[in-house]
Parts: sequence; structure tokens; C-alpha cells
Amino acid sequence: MKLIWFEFKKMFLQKNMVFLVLILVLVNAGKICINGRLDPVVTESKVHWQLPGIVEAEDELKGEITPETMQMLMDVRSQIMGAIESGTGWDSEASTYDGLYPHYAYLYEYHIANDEKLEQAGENIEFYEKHGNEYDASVNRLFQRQYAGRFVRNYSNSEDYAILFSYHFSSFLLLVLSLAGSAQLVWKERKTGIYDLLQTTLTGKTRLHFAKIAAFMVWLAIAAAILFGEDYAVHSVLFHLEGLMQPLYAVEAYELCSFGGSIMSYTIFLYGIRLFAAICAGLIFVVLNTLFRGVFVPICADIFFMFGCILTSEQTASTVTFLDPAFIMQPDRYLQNFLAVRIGDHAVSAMTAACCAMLLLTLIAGAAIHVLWSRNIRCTLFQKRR
Amino acid sequence: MNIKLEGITKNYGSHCVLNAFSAEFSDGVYGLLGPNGAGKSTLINILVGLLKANEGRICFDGKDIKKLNERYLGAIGYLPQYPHFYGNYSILELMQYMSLLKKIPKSEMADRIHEILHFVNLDTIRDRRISQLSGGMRQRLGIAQALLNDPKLLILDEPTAGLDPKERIRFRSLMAQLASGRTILLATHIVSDVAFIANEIILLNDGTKVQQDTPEQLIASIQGKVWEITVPENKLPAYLASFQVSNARHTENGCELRIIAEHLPEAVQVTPNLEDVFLYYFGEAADHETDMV
Repeated sequence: MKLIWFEFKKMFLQKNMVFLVLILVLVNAGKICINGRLDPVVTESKVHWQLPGIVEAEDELKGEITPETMQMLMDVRSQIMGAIESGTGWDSEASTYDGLYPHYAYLYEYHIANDEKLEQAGENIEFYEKHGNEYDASVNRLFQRQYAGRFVRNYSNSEDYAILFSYHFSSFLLLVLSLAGSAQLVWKERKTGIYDLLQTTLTGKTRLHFAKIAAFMVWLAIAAAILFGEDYAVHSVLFHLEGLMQPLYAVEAYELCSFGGSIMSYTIFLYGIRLFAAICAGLIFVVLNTLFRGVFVPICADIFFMFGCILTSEQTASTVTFLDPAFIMQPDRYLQNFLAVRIGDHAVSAMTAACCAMLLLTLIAGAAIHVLWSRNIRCTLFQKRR
Repeated sequence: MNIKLEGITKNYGSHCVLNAFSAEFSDGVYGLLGPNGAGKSTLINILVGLLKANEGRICFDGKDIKKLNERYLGAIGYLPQYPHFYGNYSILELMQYMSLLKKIPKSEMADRIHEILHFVNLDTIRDRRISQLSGGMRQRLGIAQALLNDPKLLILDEPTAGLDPKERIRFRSLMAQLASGRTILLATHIVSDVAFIANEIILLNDGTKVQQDTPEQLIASIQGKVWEITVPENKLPAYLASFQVSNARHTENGCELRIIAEHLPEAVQVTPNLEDVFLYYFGEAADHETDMV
């Protein structure tokens, strides 16, 4: 642990790195604020929360969803509609309940719609098994596993989480920090010329390399926590992030998401997956920085790789995107709908497949770094030829 | 302790950097002297295990270092050429970091660091950042980290490069104190670094060992080949072109030259010094490389 701390301090507790993080934090805050003005989802949310008396009405409805509360909401709504028709009510009051009712109804009826899908999936399994179509039967079994037992018990308006979860700019910034960190990891030793000395000590190369990579991962974990924490904090200030314990599918945009956990667990998952992708990208940056000598070529290779990833991530999910860290940083692309990948006659969740592919890529990059760093050939790596 | 190098050869492609280098070291200070590009750093890198020799072997107390591995690494201290220690570490942090890498037991670490920092006179500023240290202090820190494991073989690559005269003297004094009970191999192209402290000097040129002897014997080997002559200023270019001139000093009567030659009529024979030896053996290469300090 102490060795990792020393490596961390050596590489990342540097003025330039701290300054870079601060700059990117400011850029991120600016971007969230700009999104708050331009994003159509945000506009929709704003319209909802500007309805007269909406906050009070939302507060009143919070709690367990029962047939009685649903009936009460319907009664109030029809009473207001009746009043409007008779000329004694106001449109504004009606619009408040018009804004509330569909979402409440969505949550109330979610399990009914979901059970229907599960039933359909069960019928599909029977059908496909009868016709020997093992793959499609497997797809439906996967569906059943992922969507079984879904039920929204409590009401809370968690719709604004859709704004937070669809915000991916900080992932791009994390890639930039990953690039900067990897450059620091390689060039720091190149610049100081101490690597020769470190290699002559009793601590083996493996342990030293592990400490360096571990320090890099700690750096990325901290950077990801800062950026993601900022995303959460700024969105909390600008929007209504409520109902952290609600299931993710309580957010209408995630009605069909294959992630069955709570919003809180998805938030943690999102942080983890972004960190994982940043580590994978970072290790690839390290390989590139190690392979090429000088500064210009590795920087170009890094930037080329980074923008390649970002451009690929704009495409729809495919085999290529499984190997794209920028794509996996946006897990809603895999999770927002049911998405399966065929492996032989079996269906595997696209997210699981993408994670496995990314893990494999990470291990390959890690092994490549160890091999490259262990080579005592002057024309590669840290040392200059003397 | 005994280190024996037998027929060490290193090639980079078709270019031979070290050619069948053999030498034997026991306790004492050994100066590895040669112009830049002579193969000193390559030899050191092979000695510390950073490079593999194409041919030859190194024995430490009679055993091949390839078989000793950790035992050998634990017995060496190394200061590379131009080390830029991490500026954001304090002196103490660097020593702790190196102690971890050298696997110094935790129970001994604090005492050992204190003892060595005291020895190199850095103990009072142990919390100062490395970026705030002078060149001499950094070099002493480099020596301090090399001493952490109490090495039997201390290898220093160009240790005085960039130091002022006062720090060089301080360095020589440290070396003199460290010499007992261990082998110090000091690679340099600066003659004065080894002139006063080396028990033996190895002259290396183009990857080949030219000579290995005591400074006195090396000086004796060119006895009668060093001359002094005063010439008019206008003849200076001709002398510089025709002879190996180890020193030129302008006086009222003209230019006083120190020349290395087999015979020089009208000149006065003088006692050679180690710089003359360097010039005698390395000739043209030395003209460009020697730092006559």
C-alpha cells in the first residue's frame, strides 16, 4: 500500500495534474448549466415543475401507491375537469393534475404491463422450444430473468434522474484525464531517468509495475468520483432528483431497462462502469505511450485513439462498440432497452457481454504493459539510448 | 569481496559497444575513465543487471550473478547518470520510497535513513522538497539512496557531473570514507574525480580496456613523454595542429605549452599527471571530451 501511495504522489500529486482536474471540473459545471437550458428533456421537466401547486401536490402523493391513492387522484382530476366544464374551475389547476396523473398511472400500472410481457415471454419460450429454436427461447428466458418481479410500491417523481443518466460529457472528460494520467505514468519516469535505478532494486519489476498501475487506478477512481460527484451535485441543484431508492424503471425513460435495481444502485453502477472503462482506456493509452518514443507520436496516437472511441460511441451498439471504452461509459445505451447478444445458442445480456469484452481488453493491455515495461531494450520504453 | 568480469561483450546490431572486457575488483575505489561513448555506461548497465551482455560472465565472490540474482541485487548500490529525483518528494520520502524498493526491514528503516542522511549531511533538511535542493545536495541524496542497503559494491555513473568545485571536494571526501570494506566503481570522464581517490584506474576507449593500473603506475607509464615549451603567440596554431597539447597558458614571453610527445627538441621534460595520461591514451577523443577540471 505504501508503495502505491508513493507512486501516486510521484505521478499525480503534481501541480499540473491538480490544475487540469480543476479546469475540467469547471468545464463540466459549465456544460451541465448549458445543458440545463438547451436539452429538450430538461425543458419538459422544467415545464412540469412550473405547474401551479405541483410541488405541494407531488409531496402529497409521496408514499405507498395503493388503489385508494390512485382512485383519489382520479377523483380529484375528474372533479376539476367537471368544474372547468361548468365554468367554475381553472385550466391551470387541471394542467397540474394532468401533469401528475400519467406518471402516477405509469407507476401504478407498471407491474401489470410487465406481467403481460413476462407472460408473453413464457408463451414464446414454449413456442420456440417446440420448434427447436434454442436461441430465441434463450432470449425469452433471459428476458424473464431480467424482468421478473418488477413492481413499483412507492410514489416519488424520479423523472429528473433521466437528465442525470443521459449526461455523458463528464465521461469524455474522464477519458481526457485518463489520457493525461497515462502520459504522466510513462513520461514521468522517462523524464527523470530514475527507472534504471528502480529496476536495480530488490523489489521485482512485477511489484513495481503493479504499484504504478494501481496508483493510476486510484487516480482514475478519484477523478471519476470528482466528476461524477459534481454531475450529481450540480444536477441536484438544478433539477429535482428525488426517490433515490425507487427502482430505475420508475423513471419512464427506463421503462424497459434491463437493470432491475434501484436508482441508487444504478448510480453506483454507473460510476463503477465509467471508472472501469476509463481504466481500460487508460491502460491502452499507457501501451501506446510505451510503444512510441518521443512525445509527439504517442500524443497523436492517444488522441487518435480517444477520438476514435468517441466517434464509434456515437454508433448503435455493435460488436465494435463492445471494445469501445467510450461506448461502455454510456451504459444506458445497452440497458435502456432489452438487448441480448448471441453466443452460440445462448443469449447473453449485451451489458454483460460488453463488460466481459472490456475486461478482456483491460487484461490484455495490462499484460502488454508488463511485458513492454520489463523489456530491457534501450530502443523502447522509458530509457533513452546512450 | 571480489567481482570478476570475464570477456564481457555487448553489441548493438553490428556496432560493438564493449569488446571482451575483463577486469577484477576487490575492496577499494576503482575509477572507470574514458571519453563519452567509450562504453562506461554500457558496462555499468550490465553490472547492475539492466542490460544483458552478448558474451561473457560476471562473478560475485566466485559465483555467477545470474545464479545469485536477488543476493547480488541486494549487495549493490547504484547511482545512475544525471538522476532527476522526483521534485515533489521530500528527501525523507525519497529515502523511504527507496527503502521500500530495496526491502529494508521496517524496523530498521528509520534508523538507517537517519544514519545515512546524517552521513551525507542532509539530515537537518530531511523534510525539504527535492525541487528545492541544489545540484550538490541532490547528488548527495543520490549517494544516500545508494547506501541504504549497505552495499558491498557501489556503482556511480558520472557522479560529479554538474557539481561545483566545493561539492566535488565534498564528494571525494565522502568516497574516501565509504571505501573501506566495499568496492566503489566510479565511471567518469573527469580526471580529477578519480585522480585523488582511486586505488586503481581502468582506461576504457571504444569498448576496449586500454589499461588498468594504479594512478602512480599509469603516470609512470608515460614518464619522459610530457614536455613544456614556451612559443611565440603566432606559432601557437601550428603547435596545436601538430602535437597533443594538454595545457596552454599565455605568459609575457609567449605561450607556455604542455605537450605530450615521444620527443620534443628545445622543450623541457616535466613530470606527467593523470590528465596527461588521459590525453596520451585517448588522443583525439579526449581533445573533445575531457573536462579539465
